[in-house]
Amino acid sequence: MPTQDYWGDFQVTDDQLTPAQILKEQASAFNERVGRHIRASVATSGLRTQKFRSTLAVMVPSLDRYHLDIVTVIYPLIEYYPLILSDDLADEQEELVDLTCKSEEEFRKELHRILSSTRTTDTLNSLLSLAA
Amino acid sequence: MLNLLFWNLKRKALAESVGLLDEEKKADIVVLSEMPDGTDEILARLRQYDSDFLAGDEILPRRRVSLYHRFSAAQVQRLHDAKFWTIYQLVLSDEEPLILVAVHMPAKSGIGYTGLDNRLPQFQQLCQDILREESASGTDRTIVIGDLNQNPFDGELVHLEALNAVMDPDVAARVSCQRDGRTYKYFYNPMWTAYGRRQAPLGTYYYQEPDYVRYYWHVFDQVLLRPDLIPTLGDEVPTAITELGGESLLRANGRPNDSRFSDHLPISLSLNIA
Repeated sequence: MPTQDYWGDFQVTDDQLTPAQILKEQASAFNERVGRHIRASVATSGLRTQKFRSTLAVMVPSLDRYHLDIVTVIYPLIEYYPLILSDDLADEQEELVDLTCKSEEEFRKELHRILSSTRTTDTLNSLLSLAA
Repeated sequence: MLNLLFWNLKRKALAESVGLLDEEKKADIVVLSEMPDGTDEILARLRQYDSDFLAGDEILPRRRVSLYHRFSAAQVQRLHDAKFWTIYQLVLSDEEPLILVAVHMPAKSGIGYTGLDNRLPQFQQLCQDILREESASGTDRTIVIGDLNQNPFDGELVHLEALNAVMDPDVAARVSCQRDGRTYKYFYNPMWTAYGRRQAPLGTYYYQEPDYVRYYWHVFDQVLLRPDLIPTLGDEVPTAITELGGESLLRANGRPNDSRFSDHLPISLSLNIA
C-alpha cells in the first residue's frame, strides 16, 4: 500500500528572497571585495512568536575572534514584512530610530543607505587598517 | 579580589567623580554607560590613581558601554560589539578565563521597545551571544554588568529564553533547567537584595511612571553571575553607592541627585578572584 501524503499544497520557490538571504547577498559582496582581511557573515536565529532575527556582522581574523554587528533585522516567518531594521552602529542617542520596512523594496533601500553611510564606511575603514 | 564598578553617567562630565569612586572602591574594572564626549578625561583621571589603567580597547570603535581596567592589554580581549552590549574575555590568572558582558539595554520607553514581546528578542540575542562566547572560550565563568533597563523581576531577566536570572543562589547552582526538551543555563541575580530596605536607596534609579502600575524605585543597574562564580561572592552583595568623597549622591529626599551627578546610582561588587 503506497504511503499517503497528508501535506498541503506547498512548493519550494525562490520567487522572493528572505531578509536573511538579502543580507547574505551583501555579506558575499563584502567578502568578494575585502574578505581577505575581514569576513562578513549572517547569523539567523528563531525567536518567539514565529519571528526570525538575522544579524550581518563582520569578523576580523587578525584580532582573534573579534566581531562587530553591522545591521540586524527581525522579521515574521510568514510574508517577512513588515520587518524591523536596526543600524547596530548607530550612536547611543539614535537608539530609537529602528526602522520598520513594509516591503522588500523599502528594506533594500534602507539597507543600502545604512551600508553605504559615512559611519559604516569609516568604521570598516578603521577595522581594515587594523586588520591589514 | 576582583573589584568591579558600574555607573550610568547620564552624559554628565563626571570624570572627577569616577576617579574618586575608583579610588574609594579600589576598582580593577570600571564599566560606564551613557558616557559624555571626551573619554580621555575619564582615562586621564583614572590614571591619576593608577597609571596602569587602560581603556577596554582604544583601537576599536567606541560603543554604548566603555570599560577601563588595571590589567595588561593582553589580559582583556574585546570579543564582540553588538548594539547594546560588548563582550570581553579576561584572562587574569592560570584559571579559566572570565567572560565579562558590559551592557546598556534599550529603555523600556524606547520606540519599538515597549512591551515584553518587543524587548525579548534583544535579551534572547544577548543570551545567545553569551552562550557562543562561553563555548568559544571554554568557560562558564561569566559576569554580566550594566544598565539592563529592566528590574530583576521583569520578564526579560527571568524568562528562560532570555537571561534566566534567578534570585535564589541554590536554584542557580543547579546550573541549568529544562523546558520542552531544551536546556536553559541560569544566572544568579544578587541584585534582589536591593529590595526590601527601609532607607534610601531603595533601588539604583528613581522614576515615577505615568501608568497605573508604579514602582518609583528601580534596580536597572545590575550584576549577574553564572553559578560557577557564586562562591566567589562570599557574603558580599552588590551595593548601590550613595556617598562619594564625603558628599551624598542623593538629594535630601533620598533620591539620586541628578543635577549634581547622574540619575543612576553607581554599583560595586567584589569577587574573590585572584
